[in-house]
Amino acid sequence: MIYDLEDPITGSGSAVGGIISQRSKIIDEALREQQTLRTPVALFSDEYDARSVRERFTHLIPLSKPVPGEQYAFEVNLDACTGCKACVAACHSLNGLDDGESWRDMGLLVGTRKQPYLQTVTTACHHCADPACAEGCPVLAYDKDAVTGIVRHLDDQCIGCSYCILKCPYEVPKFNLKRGIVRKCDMCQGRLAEGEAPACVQSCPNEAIKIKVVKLDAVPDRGSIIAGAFDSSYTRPTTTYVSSQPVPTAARPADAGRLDLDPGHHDPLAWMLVLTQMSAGGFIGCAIAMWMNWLTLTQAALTSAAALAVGLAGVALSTLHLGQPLKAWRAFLGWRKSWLSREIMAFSALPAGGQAIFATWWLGNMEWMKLAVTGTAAAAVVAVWCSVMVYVDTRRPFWSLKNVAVKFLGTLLLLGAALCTAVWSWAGLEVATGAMAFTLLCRWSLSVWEISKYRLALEDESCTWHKSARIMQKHLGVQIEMRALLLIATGLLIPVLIAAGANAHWMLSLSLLLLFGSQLMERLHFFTASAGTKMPGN
Amino acid sequence: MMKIPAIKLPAMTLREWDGPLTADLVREPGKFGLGQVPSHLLPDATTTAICGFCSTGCGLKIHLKDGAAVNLTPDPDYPVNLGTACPKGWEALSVLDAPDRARMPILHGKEVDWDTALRYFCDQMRAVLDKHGPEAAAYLSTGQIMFEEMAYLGALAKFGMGMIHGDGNTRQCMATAVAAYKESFGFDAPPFSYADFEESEVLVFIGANPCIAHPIMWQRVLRNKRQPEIIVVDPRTTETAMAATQHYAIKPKSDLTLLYGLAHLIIRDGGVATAFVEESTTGFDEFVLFVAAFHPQRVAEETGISVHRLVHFAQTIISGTPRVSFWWTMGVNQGHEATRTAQAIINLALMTGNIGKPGSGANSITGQCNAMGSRLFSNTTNLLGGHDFRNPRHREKVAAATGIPVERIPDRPSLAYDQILKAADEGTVKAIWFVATNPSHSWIDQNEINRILDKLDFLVVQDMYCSTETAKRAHLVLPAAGWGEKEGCFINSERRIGYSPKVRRAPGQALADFHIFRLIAHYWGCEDLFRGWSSPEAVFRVLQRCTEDQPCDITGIDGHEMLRKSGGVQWPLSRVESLKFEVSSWKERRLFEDGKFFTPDQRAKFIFSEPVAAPERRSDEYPLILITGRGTSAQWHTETRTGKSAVMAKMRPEELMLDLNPQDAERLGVRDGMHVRVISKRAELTAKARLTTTVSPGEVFLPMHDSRVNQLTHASYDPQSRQPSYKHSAVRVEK
Repeated sequence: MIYDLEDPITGSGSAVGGIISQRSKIIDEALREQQTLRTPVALFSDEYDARSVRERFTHLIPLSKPVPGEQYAFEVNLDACTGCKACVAACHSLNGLDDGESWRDMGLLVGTRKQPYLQTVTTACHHCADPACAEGCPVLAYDKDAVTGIVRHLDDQCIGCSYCILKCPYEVPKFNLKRGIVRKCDMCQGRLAEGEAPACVQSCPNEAIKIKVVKLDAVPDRGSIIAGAFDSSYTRPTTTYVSSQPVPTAARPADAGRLDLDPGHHDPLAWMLVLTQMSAGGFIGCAIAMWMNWLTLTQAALTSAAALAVGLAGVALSTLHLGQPLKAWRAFLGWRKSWLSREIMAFSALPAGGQAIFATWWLGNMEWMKLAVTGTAAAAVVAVWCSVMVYVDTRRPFWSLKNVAVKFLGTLLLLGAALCTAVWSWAGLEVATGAMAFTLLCRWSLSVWEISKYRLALEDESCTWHKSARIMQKHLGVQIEMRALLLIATGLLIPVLIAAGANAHWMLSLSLLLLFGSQLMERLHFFTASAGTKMPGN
Repeated sequence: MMKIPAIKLPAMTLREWDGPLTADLVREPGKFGLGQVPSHLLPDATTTAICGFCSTGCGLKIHLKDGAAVNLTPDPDYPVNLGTACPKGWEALSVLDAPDRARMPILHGKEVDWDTALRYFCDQMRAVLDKHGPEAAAYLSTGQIMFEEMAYLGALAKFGMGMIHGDGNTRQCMATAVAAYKESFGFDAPPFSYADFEESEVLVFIGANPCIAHPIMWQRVLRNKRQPEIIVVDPRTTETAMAATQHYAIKPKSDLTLLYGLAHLIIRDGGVATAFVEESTTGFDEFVLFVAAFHPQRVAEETGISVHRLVHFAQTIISGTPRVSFWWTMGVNQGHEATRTAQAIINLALMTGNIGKPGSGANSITGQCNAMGSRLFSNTTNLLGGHDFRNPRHREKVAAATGIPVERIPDRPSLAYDQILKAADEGTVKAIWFVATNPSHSWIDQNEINRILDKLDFLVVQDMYCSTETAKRAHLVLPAAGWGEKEGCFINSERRIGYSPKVRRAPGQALADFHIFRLIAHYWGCEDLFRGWSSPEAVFRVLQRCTEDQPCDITGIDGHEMLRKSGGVQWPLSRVESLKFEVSSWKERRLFEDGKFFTPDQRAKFIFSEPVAAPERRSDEYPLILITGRGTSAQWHTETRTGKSAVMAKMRPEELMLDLNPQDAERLGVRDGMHVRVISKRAELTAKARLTTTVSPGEVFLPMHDSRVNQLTHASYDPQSRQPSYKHSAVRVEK
């Protein structure tokens, strides 16, 4: 008992001092009482209730475990979902997640003027039959359980590279900044193992969410699980949305028209891509010049040193985007399926190539050095190709094979040539002029291609990356104009100034810097305007 | 000192299946029937609380560790919610930890100690009352605190400090239902139990969107096994309208005409329960004559619903009788002729005999967690226990029950909220004390109230948060403990009284409202009057005595402990009834099963009057009707609490969205997602247009949670209930 019913506040005293001390006493009493909590043994704690969670939800989870060829899956009854979002809150509370973290989300499908429609859609991990997150993970931090089919994330294995976020077309894995890893729904597998329903299933007032056993053969590999969701052929998501009335064909996510920049922190990746591509280009330039006998041993060493420095800087920067860089040594584990794993391994050839080049230079053997530079160039090109595939493999429309390949290989040629031009110009080589001409050719062709494609995508609503183009138009107009100015500067102004007698060394170095800046901006847009797909939002 | 984390090298295994990061998410059996819970939130005891947001009154099982709440889950054994809760309930604890909690009294922007604050409060109030008389200071109570606290506030202000005027924010939500029930039934008595959701064959929702505003009540609707017809009357195609079997998207504020039109058709088509009407009601003959003028063609024209559909509506009611229930909430209550509209609903239930039977009733769904408590015990419009200040016998009874000398009980009721504000504007009210409410955001025609508040000599705000729009204007802010940090009782929509315990420590020197009132009584020097009011439970006993022989008699409840053990108790429960009380069979009770009402002649009254047009109509300059209302299930009123939860932030739009019909958008040249200006005669704001057919052409919708929305609304009031009409203002939209 905290309140003393028998002892009300005593009557006021007559002396002023008495009043003051009495007043401070009753304030202190109130403050003390306010901070007192009843202990669990006091009157008001329950010791036990009759109906356990296990008994209450048996009808919403399968009676038995899946047999081979089957797995668990969410089933959502749209008719029963009215958008109260209790599932989102319960996932957070019952799983003890961080502030604002929940593995369920709620979206909305809307109709058209002629076909009014309103349907809330609750969505969590679809525990896909072919999980793209698991395929992309370079360190095998995903495990698809052999019995339940639950796609579980191994939090202590994760290096926080966030590639699974790019790979998942449903925006399921979420980066946890505080911990530097990704976390995601595990279908409350521990609860299911004990015959308890997952948090979301428990929380739905209308029993709209169930766990079912589905046959793997029957998991659709075409169409989409609900209006606005990505094509199921990619990952074969197992969630089913059922309704007595079919979702109208015109229904679309309420956020379909939103043109938002991708909020991910991809800056280190943009730097890494541009630098490594410049490096690969530099090695190729160096190798060609060596085979053409344009370079002396020292000049070749300088050129390849420049390329190596740039490449290593790129690789080093890339680790900045990892939440758990110390665990990155496991990145080879995923090589069978993950292009990211392959990319990391290919780029790790760079230091080895550098050592080989240094050794042959030390020995003064031009022939061996030719082979070393050529070998390094080949490895770098393979690595750049892996980079291309890292993004193509996410199936984002903006990251189509053609788009990514032209951008990455174009950057490789452009910046590689520009790097060689600058180095050779300082070395006083004739061939620098030829390299400069090639740089110009690359610059103009790449820019003309980019601009025309962008215009086309902007005008053509059926273009697969129309949305990305509109995002760029909406948010990145100033940057696009800046790139146009950089094109004028590097493609016209600087060559004219050099022809007019300006200092070529400095001008070409400046040009290299500006070209790099332009490509870096392109690469930042590559991420921020990538318009990843997701489940219907609000 | 900052702790520098030691760099831990990763394990040299190829795959780390376990480790510290994995351990963060480990769950283990929570005991107490909870199933698995996060290991770091493992409770050592549990207790049950009643949710402090809306009037559904869900039971929440609080997980305790060393006596303090660490987590919660909905209570599976509570008869209201049966183990579920909406996001507000799930997040009820997390909003207590917000950084903008008021931790110390704040006087003119500076933190002061309680002694200074209380002395200042009493000096200022006394100065105003002494100089300008008892009508010069007023208090504005709330439906958000425990009713023991409300009663203390009402008694302290009126009996102790000598104020005449006090009202509550319930004026904004429930005043209409009160006025309607009192006149029609003879007492403010919502007749239903939530079981009626499950027992109906036809459910008619008028101006109600339970899917979003009362999700747990909607759960009860979906548990109905009778495959009921669900009818929604709402100008908007709300989530509930989408889930309904019939939706009547009437023109805004044509509800009264529609209801009279339905009465006309039910009479025409032989749907009247003659025996019941004759035995249990008065005024039906006059009503028949009155609704004769509401012939279907006229009603079709005024409501926009075709004659064919009107007939279908009426036929559905006739064929569903006697299991037709009518439910209304803010769409009705917040109207310019709200009381008559609510009574028109009551009339439909009375004439068809859909009352006092399972699955029937004219049922007002309440708003706030304790709006129903406020109706009985706030001591504002009614004297404690649903009594009348003007009635000398009532004053004597309450004096005897409370131990307050009868001469201290005012012999007249208070002014209503809007009238208090008007008096403040005219200078007769000089000081206002707001408790747990945020009118600078929520009151209609907001710029006007803010102008008036700034004129006051003394403005006190008592609140959990020092950041509310009203607290920022206050001369003095008194820091209050919130739900979960204090104990007491709520009454939910179905008249269920539930107990909620203290499970958290309040931040800083914040004190329960109960303590604050006690301290003020002491500083004012009137603590002798409240000698017996020493704890919430003691006040509960006092209030029980006040209800003796009233329709809301709760003298049979054996204190807080009985409430907790029996899953809440619906009023009435008199001493006599308590002898027969069985927890299992008395879980769900409805009123009027004997066909006897609380009027002197025990008959319900048909009350009606000619509809009048809404005060602010469309014009060439302002061609659109603005409707305001609830945004999402994760938003509560002015969001002083729900705005503090990061999880709930995920559930609401990032910015203010204006629902606009594509047809209007085309005319205006507005595209989806474009920022537009919404302009009324009073103010303008910018919102993002969402093109949607959920609003009809000529109508737009804004959620009330954004602090700017009520700058636009037109202040008009229902003449009977004085409730503001939030649902009908004229605006225009510009790019």
